[in-house]
Amino acid sequence: MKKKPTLKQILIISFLFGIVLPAFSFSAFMVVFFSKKMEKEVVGRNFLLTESLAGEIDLFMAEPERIIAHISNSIDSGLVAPKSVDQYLQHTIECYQYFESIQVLDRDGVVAFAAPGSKDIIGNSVLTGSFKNFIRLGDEEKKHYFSPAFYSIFSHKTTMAISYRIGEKVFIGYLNLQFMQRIINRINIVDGDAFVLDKAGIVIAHNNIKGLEGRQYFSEQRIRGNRKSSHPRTYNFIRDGVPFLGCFQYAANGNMIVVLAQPESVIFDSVTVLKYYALFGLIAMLFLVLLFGVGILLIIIRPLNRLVVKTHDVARGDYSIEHERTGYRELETIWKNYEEMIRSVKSREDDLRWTQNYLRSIFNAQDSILVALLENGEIVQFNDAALEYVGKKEEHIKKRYFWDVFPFLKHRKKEILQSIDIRNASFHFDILFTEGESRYFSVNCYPIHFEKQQGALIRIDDVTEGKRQESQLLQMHKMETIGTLAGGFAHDMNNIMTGIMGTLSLMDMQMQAGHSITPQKLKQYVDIMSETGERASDILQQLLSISRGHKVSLSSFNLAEVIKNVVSIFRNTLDKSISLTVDFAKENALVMADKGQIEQVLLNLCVNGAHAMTIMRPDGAKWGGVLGIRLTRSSAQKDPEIEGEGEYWKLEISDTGIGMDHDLMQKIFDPFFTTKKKGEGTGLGLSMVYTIVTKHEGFLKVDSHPGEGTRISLFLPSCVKSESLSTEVEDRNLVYPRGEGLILVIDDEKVMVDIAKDILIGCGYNVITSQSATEGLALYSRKWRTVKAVLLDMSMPEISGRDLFRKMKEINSDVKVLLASGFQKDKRVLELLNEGVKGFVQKPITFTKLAHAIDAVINE
Amino acid sequence: MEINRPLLPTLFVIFLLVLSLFSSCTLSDPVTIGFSGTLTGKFAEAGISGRSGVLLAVEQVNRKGGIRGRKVKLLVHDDQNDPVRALRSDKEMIDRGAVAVIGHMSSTMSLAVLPLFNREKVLLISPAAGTRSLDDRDDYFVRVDCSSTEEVNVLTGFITGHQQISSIAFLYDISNNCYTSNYLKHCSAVLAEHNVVTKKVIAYDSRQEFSYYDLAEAVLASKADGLFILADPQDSALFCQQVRKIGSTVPLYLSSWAQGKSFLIYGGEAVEGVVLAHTYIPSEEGCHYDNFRTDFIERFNREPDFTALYAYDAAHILCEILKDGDDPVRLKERLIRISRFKGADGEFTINRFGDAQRNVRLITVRKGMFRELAE
Repeated sequence: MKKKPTLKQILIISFLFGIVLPAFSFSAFMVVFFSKKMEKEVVGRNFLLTESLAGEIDLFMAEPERIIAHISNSIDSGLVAPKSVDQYLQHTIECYQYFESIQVLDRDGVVAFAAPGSKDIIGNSVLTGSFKNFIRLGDEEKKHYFSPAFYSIFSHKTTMAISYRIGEKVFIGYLNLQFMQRIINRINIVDGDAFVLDKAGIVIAHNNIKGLEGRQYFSEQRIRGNRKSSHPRTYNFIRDGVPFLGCFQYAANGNMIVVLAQPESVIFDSVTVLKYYALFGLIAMLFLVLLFGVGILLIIIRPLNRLVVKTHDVARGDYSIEHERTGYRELETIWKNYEEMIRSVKSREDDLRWTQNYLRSIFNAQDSILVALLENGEIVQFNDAALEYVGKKEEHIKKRYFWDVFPFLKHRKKEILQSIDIRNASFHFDILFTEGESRYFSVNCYPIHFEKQQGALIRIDDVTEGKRQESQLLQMHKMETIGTLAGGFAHDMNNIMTGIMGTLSLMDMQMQAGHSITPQKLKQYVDIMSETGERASDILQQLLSISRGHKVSLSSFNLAEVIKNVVSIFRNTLDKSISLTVDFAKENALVMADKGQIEQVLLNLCVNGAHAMTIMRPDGAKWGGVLGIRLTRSSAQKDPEIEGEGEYWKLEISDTGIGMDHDLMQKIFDPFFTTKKKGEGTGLGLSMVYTIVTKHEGFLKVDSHPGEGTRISLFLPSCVKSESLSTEVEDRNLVYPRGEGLILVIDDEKVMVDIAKDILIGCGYNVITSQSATEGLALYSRKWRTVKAVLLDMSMPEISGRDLFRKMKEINSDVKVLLASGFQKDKRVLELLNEGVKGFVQKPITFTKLAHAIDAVINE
Repeated sequence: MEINRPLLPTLFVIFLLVLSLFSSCTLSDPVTIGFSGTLTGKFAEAGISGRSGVLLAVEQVNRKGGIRGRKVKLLVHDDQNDPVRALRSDKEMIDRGAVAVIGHMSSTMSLAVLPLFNREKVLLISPAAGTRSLDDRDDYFVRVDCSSTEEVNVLTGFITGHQQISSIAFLYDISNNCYTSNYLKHCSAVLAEHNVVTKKVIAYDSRQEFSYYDLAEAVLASKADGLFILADPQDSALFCQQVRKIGSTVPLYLSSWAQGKSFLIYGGEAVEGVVLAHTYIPSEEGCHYDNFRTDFIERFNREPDFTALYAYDAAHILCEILKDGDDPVRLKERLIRISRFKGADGEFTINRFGDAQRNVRLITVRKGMFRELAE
């Protein structure tokens, strides 16, 4: 960009062109104007002098004319006798000494009379040849003619002849030009020339005798040709390198020119002096003007420079104010205003800083990790929690991308950036980060739109502890629910045990009675016991499923199966006064959810519904009612209760219990809010239901009327395809894989050891067993080379299955262990699987399950 | 306040530029030449004419740009027909840097100052000194008029061939003795060879008081068949006046010294028919001469005479040889080397002794004008 001029430059240029130049030009013009005027006056004065001189010359030349005419008339008229003419002429030249000679010529041009008289002259013939032309004889009678200057044969000096003719006589007077010289000499002229030119331009009189030498010639044309002066009769010329100025004037008598010439330096001496004074004055004025200008510039620029310096200081953040005395009011005002502005800015900046610090404090006071991002994901702001979490210095966070600083957000990068880009509303998600120690993070993203800047504020909360507590509460509530269900379980288990115990007692009785049991009967008994055992296993499995504390594990499954499971558990726990109706669609109601949590929700809602119709009824009121479970496909088009888009499965649990009023409905999802009596409820049930459903991107609708009952509708997003929907069906056809080799079975339960041994032998394997972990380890250490696989119980009194595995691994890093446990595939199991355990089989074990599991381990 | 730094250098540069502009106006040093002749007194006529001729030539050269860009500066001195003064003024001119001097207008003055020029090795170019004393001398003297020797030869040839005289008388001015006495001797000798007897010789000094009439009467008393006058134009004219006034009709012979304007002014009827020998006839028309005459009249408002013409030629010759440098010692070499020059009235040569070779002719006065004598 073109650099703009500074104020100083503008002022200097303005000063130079606005003041100095005009002042200088005007002064110079005035000097030149007055000089010219004075020169003109001086020239005029010289010309006056020349005119005066010419007048004198005129007078001088008029006298000889008069005398010659007088002499001529006197002689011609006979007043002077011929014999006295010579004497008369002699007398005349004595009286009038401007004549050096007077001659009278006869008609032949012969000198008849002359004074001074001389035989050398008298009788000479002079009226012929060039002399005649020279003095123009005979042109006109009684008229004076002047010859050009010539050398006198009498005086050998320059002379002029004046001729006058009367009749045939010609009177010639030779002028003594010394008299003219005297006139010239009277002129007191400094260093200059005053001279007279004859009509031929020859110098005939000169104030300097040297000027007469050599009959110098000045033609009028040359004089006029050199005219440079404004005056019509002045001219300039150079002599010996010195410029001269001359004035000339005609003297009428004799056609002579009078010239007055002086060196210009002399003529214009006064003008030159004036010029010098004027020049000096001009320079002095310029100096003063410059001085004044510099002073003004200093007065203007210096305070402005200080102001500029101050603005730089302020720009750098130095708000210290020192009052400046500027010298003029405007700048003083600017300073005052500027100081006021600085104070104001400082105050605002203090306020701003305070606000920033305050906001920063608030920002930092948050336990949550807060990170502000630009639209490209670059971190621009963060709080102390973020710094503490990252454990690095500020420079390692600032201006870096959030996914580099928080690696657990890497796979959410696209989602976060998109939300910034499309200015999406804030959103939330939970993340399990399992690098080292597993941690849960709750991440909230709030898009920020500030003026034209886009970005986002990300809040990250470590909710690991909350999750743990939540899990504990949930477990607590589950235990509570199990407690509630305990009666039902006991009933079921009693029935099952009755089946087993009854059959066994029947067999025992028959054996004690000495009766033999036919193979058909034995097969019937075994089937009864097997069936009842499986039934017991299912019940326990379901109970275990409900009671276990497990991680959220999303999978797609059929909601109908959940309903069946829950109903199967719950049915027997219902008060007999309650009738249960279940209605669900025949199609697969696939949802993507945590199966256990959904079971928990359904169970809670069923329990609450049952309680509303029994224990929560007022004392004395009749118990009973209808508990309805209904599962239907629903969508926004079909159901006005659905606000969003998409397909949902609607699970309705309705009761005909006591119902709720509107106020009560507002509180039912609050944690620890309960209308049950003390010891009957924790107040966490519905709160947990709400949490679980919303986490599954579902929602709840409650419709209740006091005395009429309550219907709670649970909406879960429909899942299109089943991903992990695999129903583990026991292969009852006893198709199992066979193998060979030595299998080591280690379990502290003898029954388990025996059953496993029999199954494995049945599958073609050789089996060695141990009921002690220590013994089992010793056994393995001896035979590890031949042991093909180890069936290891997870929980043993001496050494846990985990530790035992690790010790075996020390013996043989390729040891193939099939882990068995009554617990589900929990965290501990997963850890061991990660460490190298080849497989897991959940108790109770069956022939097929174990056969497949051990085959899979061996043939991995 | 800070001074606006870029302004000072700018002003300084402008100052230097202006200074250099003024400095560049300084011209090269001029070439100085001198002129010395009699500008006052009785013999001033030739000196003034000579000065005018030189002045015209110098002005013309300077108008054309000078000599190789250098202007010609002319120093003019009046020798007042005084040898001492002539020496002093010539020395002064040489000291002032004159590379050559044009002058003097008389043989006497030229001979008087020649030792100075030979010593200083400065060229002296005379437009009019015709004495035969300067013939064939290898010195620093150069003349553009021919020597009187040739004049004498032509004139005596005419006298002896056409005039049928047996005796002659001489009247001569000893104020220019170097010229007149040599002329007289030579002429007398030549005439004697042709049996023309010199009956009377009268010398006079024009610087002293004398009577033209008495001298004329005295010389005519010899009854010689012819009279030879060796004097300046005025004296020659007045002697002619006296001769005719006395009633003598003897043929009158003159030296070229008399060929001046005042001879015609003062001579009147008395000078009609006089005979002299010279190279210059002003009434002749010619291309070069017309140009010179026009320029001269325009400049000086009068007719030029032969001294003006030869001084003009001398100045042009000098300027010509100065074109190859102004070393005074080398000037004569260049002049001799060139030898042939174009004068205002025609070409002429200068021999190795610096003497001009021109065509000498017989001249008479007819109707108040110098004209070539039709033989």
